[in-house]
Amino acid sequence: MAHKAEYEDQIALYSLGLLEGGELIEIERHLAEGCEICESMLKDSDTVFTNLPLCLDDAPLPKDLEKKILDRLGVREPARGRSSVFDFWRNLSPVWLNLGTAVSLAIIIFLVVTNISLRDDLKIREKSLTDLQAKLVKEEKMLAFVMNPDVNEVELGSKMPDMEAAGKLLWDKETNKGLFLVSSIPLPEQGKTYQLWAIEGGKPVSMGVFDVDKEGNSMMEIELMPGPAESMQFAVTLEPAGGMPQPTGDMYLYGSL
Amino acid sequence: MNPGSPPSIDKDPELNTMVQKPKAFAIMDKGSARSADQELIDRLRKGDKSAFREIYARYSQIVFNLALRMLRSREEAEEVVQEIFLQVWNKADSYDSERGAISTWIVNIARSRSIDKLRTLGYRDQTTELIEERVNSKSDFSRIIEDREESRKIIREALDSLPDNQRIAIEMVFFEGLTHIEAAERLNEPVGTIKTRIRLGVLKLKEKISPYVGDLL
Repeated sequence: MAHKAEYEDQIALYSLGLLEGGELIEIERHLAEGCEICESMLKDSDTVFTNLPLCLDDAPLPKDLEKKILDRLGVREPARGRSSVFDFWRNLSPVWLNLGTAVSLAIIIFLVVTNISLRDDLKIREKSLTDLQAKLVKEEKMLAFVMNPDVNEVELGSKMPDMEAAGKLLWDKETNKGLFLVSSIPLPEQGKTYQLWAIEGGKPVSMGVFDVDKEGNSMMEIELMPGPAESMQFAVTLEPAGGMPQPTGDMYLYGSL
Repeated sequence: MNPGSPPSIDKDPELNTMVQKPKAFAIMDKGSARSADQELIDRLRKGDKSAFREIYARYSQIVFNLALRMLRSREEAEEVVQEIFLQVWNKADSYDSERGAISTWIVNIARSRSIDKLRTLGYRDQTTELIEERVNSKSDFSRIIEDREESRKIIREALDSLPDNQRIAIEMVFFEGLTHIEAAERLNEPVGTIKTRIRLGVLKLKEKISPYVGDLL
């Protein structure tokens, strides 16, 4: 696998878990393809970040921290002595029974309150889990697509000065499905959206509009690519929200087969 | 380091004498390190309380230091450390020694949980990936923890030796829990510049500390 210098700046960020979307997929694919230089850089980054916390001064550990963790795990020391149930009840005086009742009531009230709080917390976590699952499904789908050896790639480069944005169109000619990835494109102004076009014989056909996240990344699935042509071109323009039947705005990205 | 294993000894090519590495970074060979990690995790998976206590003894201080640095609150750091070790206990199955050292796995969990906590507290609003699932490093400070002062000095000197702009970029993404995009915004620099500073900084740090952990790279 040929090393690509353009990935070198991404490796440390990957090691820190900071890459997302198209950038994450690209770097994982590059590593999976066996680039030894990038693999070595990744190991170096992991080593550095693993050892970096060692530079911090030791802060006094909270009292009973280990015990609190073990309690939460339900791991407890075995009882040192065991009395029978009979002995237990026989030794309880009425005073202790009253105290025990009060403590029990307090525990019940505490549990009811905690239960309500936990239910709210659970709902939030369920929502978060659902979002994560949806994201995972999406990324698995993307990964399956990009790992397909039958997929053709079209690189789209920036057409705007001083813009780092890039696009990649992956085209499975067997299924005629496509996947369009964009990174670092400027956020569109209010009321505008980006639109992808396929241009065949000078005639543009809309492939759809897409939103971008706050980092300017996006992924768009294309259910039906236009018929295969030897000189197909692709472009991204900025259009009014909802898209236009024909391109009217500035061209941000462009690439051809 | 295992109690019975000797410190790593290298030969100084210039002096032609035996030189002992700093005790702080004395290490086992790669095979036994991975084997020891896997053995520890295997015991943990079987619910062995003593294995958990061994892991806690090894990493609790470093993990607490890191969480405290990121969260700047003892209370929040304590809660995060509890969550980290609960995860270590409950997710021991997800650790694979062939993919990396326990230390890398645990530091990744610590950063991830701390970033989650920062987000929960509203310090930042972006989502974080579960970075603890991906581990690659073969280095492990579990063997270098015996002399904390010496290892602290070496890592700190390495960090201080970086140009300020590289050190600041690394500290922002590692200790502050910022993304590279957020760091770029705060520093009013292009994202590409921040990426490059981080890469160059990591490269220099690796050069500085590799004499001590080089056997595992």
